[in-house]
Formats: sequence, C-alpha cells, structure tokens
Amino acid sequence: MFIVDWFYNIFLWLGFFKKEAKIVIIGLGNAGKTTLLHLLVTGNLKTHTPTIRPNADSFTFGNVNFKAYDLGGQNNLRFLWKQYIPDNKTIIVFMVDSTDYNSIIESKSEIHDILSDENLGESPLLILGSKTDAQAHYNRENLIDLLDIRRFGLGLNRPNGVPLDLLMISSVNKNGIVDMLNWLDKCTDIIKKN
Amino acid sequence: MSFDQSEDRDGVRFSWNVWPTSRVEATKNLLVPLGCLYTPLHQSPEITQVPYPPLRCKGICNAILNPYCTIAPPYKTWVCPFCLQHNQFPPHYAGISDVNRPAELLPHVTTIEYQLPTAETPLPIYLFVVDVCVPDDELQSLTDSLTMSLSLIPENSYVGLITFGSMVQLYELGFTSCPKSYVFRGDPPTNTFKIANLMQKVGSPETMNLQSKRFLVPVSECEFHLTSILEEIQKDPCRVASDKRPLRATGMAFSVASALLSTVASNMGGRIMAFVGGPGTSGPGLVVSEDLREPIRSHHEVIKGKTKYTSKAYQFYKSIGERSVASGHAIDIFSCSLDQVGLYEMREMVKLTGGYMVLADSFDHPMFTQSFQKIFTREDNAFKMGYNAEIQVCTSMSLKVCGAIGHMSSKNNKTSCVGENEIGIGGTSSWKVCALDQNSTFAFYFEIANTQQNAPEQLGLVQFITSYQNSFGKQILRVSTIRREWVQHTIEQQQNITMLANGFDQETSAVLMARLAVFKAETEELPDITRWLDKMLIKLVSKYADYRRDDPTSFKLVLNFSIYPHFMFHLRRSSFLQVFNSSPDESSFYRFMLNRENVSNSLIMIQPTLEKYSFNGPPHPEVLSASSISTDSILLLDTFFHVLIFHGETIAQWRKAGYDKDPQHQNFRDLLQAPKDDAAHILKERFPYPRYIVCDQHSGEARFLLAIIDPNITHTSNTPQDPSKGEIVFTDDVNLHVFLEHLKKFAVQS
Repeated sequence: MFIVDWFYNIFLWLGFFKKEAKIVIIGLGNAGKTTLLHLLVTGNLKTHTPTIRPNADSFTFGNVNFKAYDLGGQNNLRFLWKQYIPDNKTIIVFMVDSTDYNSIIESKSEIHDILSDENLGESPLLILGSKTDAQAHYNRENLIDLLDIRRFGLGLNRPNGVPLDLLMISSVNKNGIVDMLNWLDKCTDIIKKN
Repeated sequence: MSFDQSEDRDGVRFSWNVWPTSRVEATKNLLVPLGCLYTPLHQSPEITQVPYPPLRCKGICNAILNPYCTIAPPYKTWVCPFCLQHNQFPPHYAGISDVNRPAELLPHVTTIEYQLPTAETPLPIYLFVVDVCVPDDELQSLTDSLTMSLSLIPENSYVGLITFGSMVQLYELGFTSCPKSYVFRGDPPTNTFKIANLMQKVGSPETMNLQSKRFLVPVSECEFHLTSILEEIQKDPCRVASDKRPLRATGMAFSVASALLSTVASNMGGRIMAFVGGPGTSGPGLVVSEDLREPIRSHHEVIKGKTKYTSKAYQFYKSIGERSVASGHAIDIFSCSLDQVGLYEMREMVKLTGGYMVLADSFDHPMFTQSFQKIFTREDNAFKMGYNAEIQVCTSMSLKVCGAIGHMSSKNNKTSCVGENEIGIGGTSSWKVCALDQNSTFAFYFEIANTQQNAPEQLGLVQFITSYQNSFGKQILRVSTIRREWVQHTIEQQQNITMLANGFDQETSAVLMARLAVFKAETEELPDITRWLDKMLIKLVSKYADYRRDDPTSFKLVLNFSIYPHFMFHLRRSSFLQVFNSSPDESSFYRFMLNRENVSNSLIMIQPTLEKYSFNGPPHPEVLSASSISTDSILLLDTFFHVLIFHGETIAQWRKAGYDKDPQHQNFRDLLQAPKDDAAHILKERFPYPRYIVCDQHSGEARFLLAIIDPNITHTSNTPQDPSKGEIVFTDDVNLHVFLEHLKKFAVQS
C-alpha cells in the first residue's frame, strides 16, 4: 500500500489493536468504485471493465483491516446492494461521479432511498465525490446541494449516532484519499462503541 | 505443407513443425513446449469416411493402418511406422497394388473416419436439472427455453427432468396420467448419496433401464406430458426471509442426476444439463450459508485459504464429475445470475466430462437463451457432436506424450508412448471425453526421447485415435496421422536453430503457453506464473532473435516470431491471469473457455481483435491500442466474451443529431450499419453467445475497450497533438512499447 504506516503496522504485526471493518462500495456505473478499491489494495491506478458480479478484497489502514465489497453500478445490478448490507455494522461508501450531472441526479434518489430505508438507513454512509482531478467537476458544496443532503446534517458525530458525510477524492492524483481513510478509521470506532 | 493446410485437413497445429533430433537439443532449444492443438471433430470436406473397421497393428503400439505405413510388393504385409512391427493384411485386403489402394493408405488421407459395424446405441440422453429458486419471470423464461428445445431434440432422444430448490424432485415422465415425481431431501442426514439410496427410493430395480422408459423417455413419447409439467413448474414453496438466501440443494440435485444416469444408461452417450440461478445453500456441496450476513467467497479469500465451504464443496462436485466420467456422461452448467452461483466449486464436473459451461446474467438474457438454442441448432441441425468418447495418442519411438490440457480425464493408460515429464493431465496416452463438438480442442504436449545425436531413422509421427458415439447413435473412429520433419542435423549449431525457427508457429505456441499458464493457475500463485511466462519469453527471444550482445537497438525478430511477444503482453494482462474485478466464478468461466477452443478463437481471447470503420477507406483491422481510437470512426471489438461497437465522439454526436435519419446521408447510415452487420455475423457463429454492447466514446461501457487496449496514451504521458486521435487511459500499467523495450534489454544481456 502506498501509505506506509510502519509504526502502526508493527503493532498490527504484533496483533495489538487489530480492528476489522466491512465496507461496501456502491454507486452508479462508472463512478470509479473498482478503480478506488484497486488503488487502496495495490497502490496502483488501473482502468477496469464495468463490474458485473460483486468482488471483494481487503486493505489495511492504520490498525484497521478493511474488508471491501465492490458491487456493480448498472441499473439491473442495484438489487444486490441490499444483500451485501445485512446490518448496521457495515459502512456504506456511495460513490458519485462529480463530473456527470445526470448521474449525480440519479444518485440523489438512490441515496435518499438508502437514508429512508429502515435497515440501510441505520448504516454509516460515506458519500464520495470522485474524479476531482477532472477540470470540470462539482465541488463538495455543489454536490451537497445537488444531492440535497444538507438538511440531514453531515459529520461523524450526528445526533442519531449514524455517521453521514460527503468527501471529495481523486483516484488519479490521490487527493482526498488519506482524509477518506481517516474518516473510515474513526467511523469504525464509532460502530464499535454503538 | 503450411500450418494452415494441416489445420484445414487434420484439425491440428503444432508449436514446432520441425522437430529437434535429440532430447538434449530439445531441452536447449524448445523454449516453448513441443505440443499441438487438436480438434477431433474438426469438419472438413476432405475427411474421408469409410463403412468398415480399421486394421490395427498387432504390436504394442496398437496404432492404425495409415498412409505412412510401408507396403511393398507383393502387398501381403504392412510395416507399422510406430513400432516397426510387420503385420499381415487380412484376405479382404488382397488385390492391393501400386494403383489400387484402400482409402486409408492414400497419401492425402491423413484423417479418416471409420464407421464401426457395432450395434447402434440409443440416441443421446438429455437430463434437465432445473433450479426453481429463481424469480417467477426468469423461471418462465427458462421453462420456455426448455419447451422450445423439445422441438429441436431428435425425437428418438431420451429426456428426463429433475427440479431442485429446498428439495430435489425427480419426475417419472413415463407415468402420464398425472405429473408424478419422487422427492428427495435437500439436506440428507448423511452427506453421501449413493446409487443404492436412489434405488431404495424409487424401487423396482428391474425397471432401472432405458427400455422401461420410467425416468428417461424418448421425446416423441413424452413431449406433450413434459411440456405440461414444465408449464406447471412453480417457484420453490419454501418462504425466504429478507435476510436469507433461498434454500437450494444444488449438490443433491447433481447427485440424484448422476446416480440416475449411471444406473439407467451407463456408457451410453448423454448429458446432464443443469440450469443454476443461485448458490447452493443446503445439503452437500453448499458454497455459502443461507444467511445473507455471510457473503460468498471472493478471490481474496480463496488465495488466503480462508474459505469456509470451498474445498469441501469442490471435492464433493469433483467426485460427482468422476462418477459421470466412469459412466460416460457429460455435465453442462448454465449459470444464470448476477451474483455468483458457485461455478468455482462446481467447475470440475464440467471440465472432467467435457460439458458446456455458460455464464449469463439471467435466464431471460440472450447470453443464455441464444447459447442454449445454439446447442441444438448449430450447423443446420446436423448435430456434429460426439459422446462417450476416448482419445488415444500413438507416437514414434523418438517422441513421447507428456500429457494433455483440455476438458478430459485420464484413462490411466501408461503405454510406451508416455514420456518421463508430465505436463497437464499426464501419465497416460489415452483420455476419456464424455462429450465433444466440432469446437472442442485439446492441447497435447510432447517430448523428444531420442538420446542419440543423429536424426532418428523413423518418421516423426503422431496418431490420434478418437472413438465416439455420434448424434445418430453410431460408433465412429476418427484417425488422424500427423507427420513432421526432423531437423537435418548439421555440425553448425546456428543452422539447426534456423531450421527449428522456420518451423515455429507463434500463434499455436501462444495458445499452448496460455493453456499451460491457466493449468498452473489451479495450483500456483498468479504472480509466479507471470514471472514464469516472462522468463520463458526472454529465453525464447534471446535464442531466436538477431542481435549483437548488449546492444538492444540491434534486436530484431524474424517474421514468424515477431508478434509472439505481443501475445504474451496481452496474456499477462488478460482476465485469465488477472483476477481483480473478477469473481472466482467469472475467472473459472474464462479459463474454461480458453481450454476448450481452437487456435484462432483462443487468440481472440488472448489478444482481442479491433476493426475500424470510417469515411477514410474500407473497414480494416486496427492495432489494439489507445492510439487506434479516434472521434470520427467506429470500432468493433471482439474479445470472444464481449462484442462491442464503439462510436467515436463525433460519430456519436452526428447520430444523436439524427443525421442517419436524413435521406441525404446514406453513407453515414451505411457507416453505422457496417459494424452492426459484422457483429451480427460474430454473434451468429459464437458459442456461448457473447455480451453484446453498443456504446459511445467517454461512456461507462467504453471501459470494456479501454481496460484491454494497450495503454500507449495515459494521463501521465504526453497527450496527443490532435485531440481527435487517440484516447487517454487512466492507468499506471506498462504499455506494450515499454514491455518490448524491457524484453530487448533482457534478451541481449550477455
């Protein structure tokens, strides 16, 4: 992995503080889900064919071992999302292509469906605006408005105890990746406490 | 004779067409294994068919009389070229002369089919095994396909029906007053289901044969009854909670199916056709638990050895495969689901028996419906299929067979033709294949056994003897006798190398290496296999290229080696050796297909083809690279598994503006139509039916193309001068140019 955190890795090797977390990466087609997972697992950027069947891999950040499921985004595949999010211990990472207006609008309704779902709504949700390396993209504030999520209140420590946030990343220039990992790390602690 | 001619006539292609004379030379110089790809049911107008049995050599080789046998006046005996045994001609062969020879001795009849005068066997048996835990609309579509197939199956063929969900139901089709079936528990107390259990359940052992027509009945006698049963099939009644998977007793269903066929129709051609819509969750062979909280295993867990059910399920299904091999039946799996069904665990059943494997999104998707239909309608209903087959290999004394890679099982027949080294399924010179069609292709690997320096006096010969039952119940024996030259040994080492090089077939070599790599992938780690491929490639080119030591710029490959490194580049990147973004089921399917097809189809899988259509001239093949993309052209990509039409940005804009609807733009309409016509042609021929995609540049689906092309333009390289030419690929992968530069550097190193 490109973020070498040797100090924590030694502890991890010794078996201290070892935490496990499960994340499920969802979002519409071509949002960059597989590209992000590949980057987190191998440290390399790669173009992939559209994902059809779910696949999984794991990566370590700090003292957390993340098990990540990468689900396809095409319309006919979305029924699988629910099957991979069985309980509120799973962190949902929802990726949105920040360069594509139409897909942002479509994502909006999917995200609201998740937030209002009696089961999925209990899971921590991290929305990722991807492809910030592109010249024309919506920034974080734009996305929050377009997705109409400001009214839910964003942050790790929300009154209802379920983290919800929106972060911006680029798998190409790797901006925002460390912030995202830190968020996931903290979120793991919150899940543990609940 | 050129490589192609030999393929047209005999259905065989060798990696090396001139053979080194000794074991030492072979080890030193054959840096791609000596091997061939052989298609036993290869169709060619040149194949001679005769209505009598063959003459076999009475020596240990057991080879069959062929054009390379020595016969001399007075034509009373023939000398076997494999073991040099003298054989008497039987009386009915009297009258042979220089001008009057039986077909099998004519010089051009290197492949011949004998129709054996044995009693006819019944027509092939089709046993349907149907998953009923699928959504109603899919179940409807599946039963529609099955009903349709009844009108395509020859009416004297036997059919049977098993359904499975939480339980397994075996239908007694011979009982026509009402639908009658025997129900088996999906999770029996003991995890082994034996033929005895089946007998105990269905009773009357004396009726367990084809003649009694209880469970397997000719189509002509049960079509109406079976159609009405299919119409009535209901979804599994077992209620499924929202956090659970349906209970699916896939393992039991296969157990009952294979036990039934081996009891009722042992050693008669037949196939179990299983239609699976989800993972097995109950009884033996389960691949994941009922609880959705437990996701199905991924490659990551398989590699780490952290799977819960995989190895047990794998062994279970393998044992069913072995039982089917023993009784001569093929197992087909039609896996139709957007998530995995456990093909990874079940693959051995299909691989060992030579069945069909189809991976589709659902039962109403053309990838299933078209593929299924094609099985019955290919080649104008002529059913060029073989059942319950056996392939035997005979070699000259200086040559030995090391093994085979393909969908077959060892017969453990260790004859004198078997070599010391083992490659693939080895230690035998004959293999069982329960079903094959005209595409089924097998890789055979050989070694040179001669320890002398001088060229062997014997001819370099391989004979393939394939016995099978055809679709009409006839026993056929196909014999191909293939000859290749030995290197004319000289003192000059370089001359020997040149002779070997002239006989190198880079396409066949690439496919033989790919099969070997995929075979290794069963037991070895993928990075190790990639390193092995690299090492072999470097050794090969440093032996056969022209260069000055330590001078990469002087490196030059002769024509028949020139594209071999390109094949290796694409093979390393292919989904055969890269598993990220593939599930274990998908990887199993891709690898399965590579081990089944002939040289040209396998090459499409390794290095897909790209065809370009534009206003600047007729359609032409393009290099598979990012620089081949342009905004004003259409590309047709064929990866064997996907057929994709890619509209460049400008073309897409014109189309969206409706120019193709304008009567003045006939040529634009023609341009849009041309790739569609060519794609339709591919779709018609291809089995299984591929995923067909039409997309525009910069769309999400364009990634089917961007992910496999050579990324010679990336976000970090210099962007092209003209933005209408080429496409930027976001990747850190090395491109072909860098790969070749490294190859040159390593190859010329002293």
